Amino acid sequence: MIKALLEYNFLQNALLASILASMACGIIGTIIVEKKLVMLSGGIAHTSFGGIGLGYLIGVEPIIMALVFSVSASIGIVTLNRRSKTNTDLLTGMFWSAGMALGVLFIAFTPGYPPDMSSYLFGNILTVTRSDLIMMLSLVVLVTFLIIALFNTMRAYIFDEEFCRVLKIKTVLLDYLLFILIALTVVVLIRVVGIILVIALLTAPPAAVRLFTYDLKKIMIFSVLAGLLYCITGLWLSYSLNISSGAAIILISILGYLASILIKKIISSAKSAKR
Amino acid sequence: MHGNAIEIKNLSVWYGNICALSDINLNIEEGDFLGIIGPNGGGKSTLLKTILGLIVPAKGTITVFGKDPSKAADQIGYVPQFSTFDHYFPANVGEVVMMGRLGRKSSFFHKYDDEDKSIVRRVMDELEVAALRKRQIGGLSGGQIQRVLIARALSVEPRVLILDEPTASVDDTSKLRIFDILKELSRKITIIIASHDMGAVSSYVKNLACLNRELHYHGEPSIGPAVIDRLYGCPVDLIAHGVPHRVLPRHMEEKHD
Ligand SMILES: Nc1ncnc2c1ncn2[C@@H]1O[C@H](COP(=O)(O)OP(=O)(O)O)[C@@H](O)[C@H]1O
Ligand SMILES: [Mg+2]
Repeated sequence: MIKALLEYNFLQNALLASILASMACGIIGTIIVEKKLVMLSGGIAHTSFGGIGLGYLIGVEPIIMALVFSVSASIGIVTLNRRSKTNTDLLTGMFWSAGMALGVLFIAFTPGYPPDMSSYLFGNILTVTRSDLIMMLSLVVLVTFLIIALFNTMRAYIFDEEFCRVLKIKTVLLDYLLFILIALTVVVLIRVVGIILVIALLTAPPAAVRLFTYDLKKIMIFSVLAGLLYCITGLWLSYSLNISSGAAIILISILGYLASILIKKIISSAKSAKR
Repeated sequence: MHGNAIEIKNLSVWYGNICALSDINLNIEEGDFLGIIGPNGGGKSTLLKTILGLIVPAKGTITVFGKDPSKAADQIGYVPQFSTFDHYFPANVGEVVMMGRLGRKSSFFHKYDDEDKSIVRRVMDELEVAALRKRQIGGLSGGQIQRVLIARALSVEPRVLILDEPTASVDDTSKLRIFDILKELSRKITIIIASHDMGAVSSYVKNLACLNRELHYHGEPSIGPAVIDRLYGCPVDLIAHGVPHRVLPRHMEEKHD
């Protein structure tokens, strides 16, 4: 594979995409897990399918329209949630299915032979293009910069929103910011694992890492590394066995999670045996 | 001793069409140690949240040291009820207490400075949680968590400390310890505590406010049966299942939101 990597441009792109995807999903995934926004993130991801459909219909790069849709969904969910006090769960469900429905509708309206949606739904890391990479890179830089810059505030906000409000920290702004960052992350991941599989890649690395440390920063860093391991293994499997990259990466992630539960068990029983 | 820390005039708070507080007038002197008691749903938490600026009142005014609550964040320390956050959150005790220092200058690339660290060290010593500094918050007992939350509130360096049911889910020994610490603290700052635990509260505080939608009493902590009767006697539907009044204090021990 190393030789192939040096030889083939598409494998180099796939590797770069793995690195970028792991960074975004390690950092934002940790927040999603700790703030219990898993379903919400799923909703934002699925809403972006509407954007992909619209992109095909009006002839704009689908991933750009996916970005527009997922960011609008984030803003919509926060705003409606604040305005009407409807719970986020409900709104998430609505956006989730509305986005999918719109996507299907737009594609049906698209003239000509229907495009193959499976690379958006399940991802295909082997077809990542240079322009995909440029977009992924800018989103990842933005996400990483903002989370590092606001780390202390973000941590307090995830931990105890009410206390932050008492301190008069602008939690409404943080709501919008975080949900938009989730939308950006989802879009980064679409090319790699697809809309439907995004959730597993966001949650599996931090879920495994948090078994071993109580330090939020470490959870983020090691989730990035775990994600990278999963993506590269998945990429290799996908290339050598010619199977879907999204499915391979996700199954590896889940295996990784199960393995860490096992390791955790072994460590704690070893510890209690010592005592 | 000094002026008023908090002045509440004609305050009413509604949730939709439920009236939680009706025409409250209450001045809390600086240096007071005030206990707020009342039945479940009597409006204690609502009153505290309004003072904190978390709830904007429908009618009436509140000032905290002469300022609107929305501008008094650095004057108030808040200890919320036990269950408002996820206990498995990956943060240790030191990090949680440090969060109290965030308010004043939470900007891009915020870092806690030496002053923040020394304040946090001091309050952690005061609350006897310094030894727990590296422990994950999920691994603490109820009493320990409560002291950590008081330390977090004090790291704001507030002039008023507001506590909502701080002893609702701790054992008796921890409860006495917390009240002793509060008593000691009350020599330096104003303290307001909402509690279902009438017995414990009345023996520690300087003043008592009895709240059941309306303010039924405000004064020395020696209240007669007449006040109790008015407080818990009306409106009648607030008394659970028609339990006779004399078992009410025990009945009230049940945890509630
Ligand atoms: N967020 C809310 N929405 C609607 N009603 C509320 C809300 N919070 C409290 N209430 C109602 O307001 C009244 C006062 O509640 P609360 O201040 O929590 O009382 P206490 O703290 O004394 O138990 C109760 O009738 C309660 O049901
Ligand atoms: Mg309450």
